[in-house]
Amino acid sequence: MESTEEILQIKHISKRFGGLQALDNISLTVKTNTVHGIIGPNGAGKTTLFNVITGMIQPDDGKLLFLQRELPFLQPHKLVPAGIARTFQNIRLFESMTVLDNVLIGQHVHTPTPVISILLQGKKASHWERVAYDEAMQSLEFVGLTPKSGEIVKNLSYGQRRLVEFARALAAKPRLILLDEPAAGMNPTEKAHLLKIVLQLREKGYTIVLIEHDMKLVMQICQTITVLDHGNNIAEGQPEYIRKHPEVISAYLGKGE
Amino acid sequence: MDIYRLAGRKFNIILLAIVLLLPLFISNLYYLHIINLAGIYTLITLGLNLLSGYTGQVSMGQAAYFAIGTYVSALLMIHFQISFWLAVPAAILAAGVFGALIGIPAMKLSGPYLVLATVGFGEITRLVILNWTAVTKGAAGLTAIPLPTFLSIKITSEQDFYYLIIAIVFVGTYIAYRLAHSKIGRTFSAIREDELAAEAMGVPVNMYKIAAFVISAMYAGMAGSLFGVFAGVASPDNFTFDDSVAFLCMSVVGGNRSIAGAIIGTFLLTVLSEALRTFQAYRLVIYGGILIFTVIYMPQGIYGMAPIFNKWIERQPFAKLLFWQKPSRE
Repeated sequence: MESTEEILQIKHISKRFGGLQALDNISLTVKTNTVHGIIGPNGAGKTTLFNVITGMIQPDDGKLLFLQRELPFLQPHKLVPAGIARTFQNIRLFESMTVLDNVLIGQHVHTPTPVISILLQGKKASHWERVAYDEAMQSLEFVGLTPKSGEIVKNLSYGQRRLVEFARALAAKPRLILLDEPAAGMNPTEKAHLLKIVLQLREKGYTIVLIEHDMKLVMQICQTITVLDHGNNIAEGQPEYIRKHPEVISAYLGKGE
Repeated sequence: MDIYRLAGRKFNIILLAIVLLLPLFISNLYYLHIINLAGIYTLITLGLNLLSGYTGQVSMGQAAYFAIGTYVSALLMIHFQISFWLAVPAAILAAGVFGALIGIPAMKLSGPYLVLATVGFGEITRLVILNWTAVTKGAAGLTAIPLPTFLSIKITSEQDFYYLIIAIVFVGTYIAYRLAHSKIGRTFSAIREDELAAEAMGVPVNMYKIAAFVISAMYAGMAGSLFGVFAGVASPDNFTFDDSVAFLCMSVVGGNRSIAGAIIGTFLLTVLSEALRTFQAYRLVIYGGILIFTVIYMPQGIYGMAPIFNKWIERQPFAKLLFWQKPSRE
C-alpha cells in the first residue's frame, strides 16, 4: 500500500555546472494528493531541480520515478502523456491566440484526431473537437475565466494570464501539477484566489508540487515542505517542523555569531 | 446576422459563378495566361502560409520545391511516357521528401538561421539543376514537356489550363482551410507562439515542424508539376532566389495567417509584377518596399484589413446591394 501513495520519487539526482554543484544527490518523495512545496534561498538549486523534472536539463546522475515508472530526461513532451502538467515562472502562453485556443492545446494528447477525418470533415474530427471544447470550458470555468474565453490572451491582466496557464495545465488532465513560482508578481487578492484554487485542486484529488518564494503562502497551503540549500536537501517535513528547524533558519537568515 | 449569412451565401455563389465563367469574358489570352500563372503560384503560397504564417517557420527556399516538382514530373513524362496524373503524385512525393530533409535541421534552427538554411537549400537545388546537365539539360532547360490529358481530352489552350488549375487550386484551398481550422492549425499556431510551452503541453514539436515543411513542400511540388505542363518548358531561371522571395512576399502581403489572404496576395503581386515588367531590374526593390510597408502598417496583411474595409462599406448607402459579408474569425 505504501508504494501507491508515492506519486513522484526523485532519486539521487546530481547536477554540476562547471565548478558549481547545483544539485548534490537530491532525493525526495511526493505523496499522492498532497501539496508539496520546494523552497530555499536564491541559488539553492530549486529551479535546476524543476528543470530536471520537466525535461529541460539532463542530470549527471540519478533517476525519476512517476507512478513507479521511470521518466525519460530531456523529453518535455512526454510529461503530459505520463500525467504531469506544468506552469512557468514567467508565464508562457500563446499570446496572440484566444484564451480558449490556449486551453485547447492542453487537450492535445487526449484528442487523437485522424488527419483524414480532419480533411473530410468526418465524424471523428467533430467528436474530438467537441470533447476538447467541453474539457477546455470546464477548466476555464474552474479558474473562473469562462467569460474571457474568446479574448486574445495578450489583452488580459497579469493575474488572469496566470489563470489561463492554470486552466491550460488542467485541460491536460494531469495527476501531478508542477507550479513554478505561481504567486510571483501577484497582488494579495490574486494570491488569495490562487490559494483557493490550489486547495480546491487538492480536494479534487490532484497532487501539486510548487516552488515558491512567498513563505506565508507556502506555509498556508503545503502539507510537506522540502528545503534546499546549496544543492542539498537540508530539511523535509510539515510546515510547523520546517518553521522551527535550526538549519532552515540559518540558511535563510545566516548563522549567528 | 441572418442578413449577413444570406449575403454570405449569395456572395459565395456569385464569386463561384465569376470564377467559372471568367475565361468566357477574357478574350486577351495574355491576361488569362497571367491568371493561370497566379493560380499555380497560389498553391505555393497556400503551403507557405501554413509553414510561415501558421507554424512560424519562415522559408525563403520554396522555389526549390517548386523546381523539384517541375523537374520530377516533367522528366517522368518525357523519359517514361508516364501520364500527367501519375507524374503529379510522384512530384508531390519527391518534394515532400525534400521538405522533410529541410525540416530536420529546422528542429534546431530558428529565426534568421533558419531563413539562411532555406536560402542555402534553394540555391543548392538551383545549382544542381544548372550543372547536372546529363539529366536536367542544364541552363538550356527541359523542352517539349508533354501536355496533360483529362478523360481523353487533351488540355492545350489557356482556357483548358484555366479549368485544370482552378480545380486543383480549389482542392488545395479546401485542404489548407481544413488543416488551418482544425487541431493541426491550432497546434501549428501554438508552436509559432511558444515552442517550449507547446512542448510542455505534450505537443511533439519536432514532428509538427517537419510536417509543416512537408506540407508546404508538397504544395510547391504540386504547383511545380502544373507549371511544367503549363509552360511546356522549364529552366533553372524559373526557380531563383528572387522567386522564393516573391512567394514569401505574396503570403505576407495577402495575410500570412489566412488562407484567403494567401490567394489575394498571390493574385495581386503576380499581376503587379507583370504590370511592372518594364522595371524588371527593380523588382526586388519594389517587393522589399511592399514587404516593409506591409509588416509595419498592416502586419495581418491585406486580409487583416477586411474588418476596417467592411465597416467602411457598411456605412455606404449601397451596402445592401453588395451582399457584403462580415468576415469570419480566422
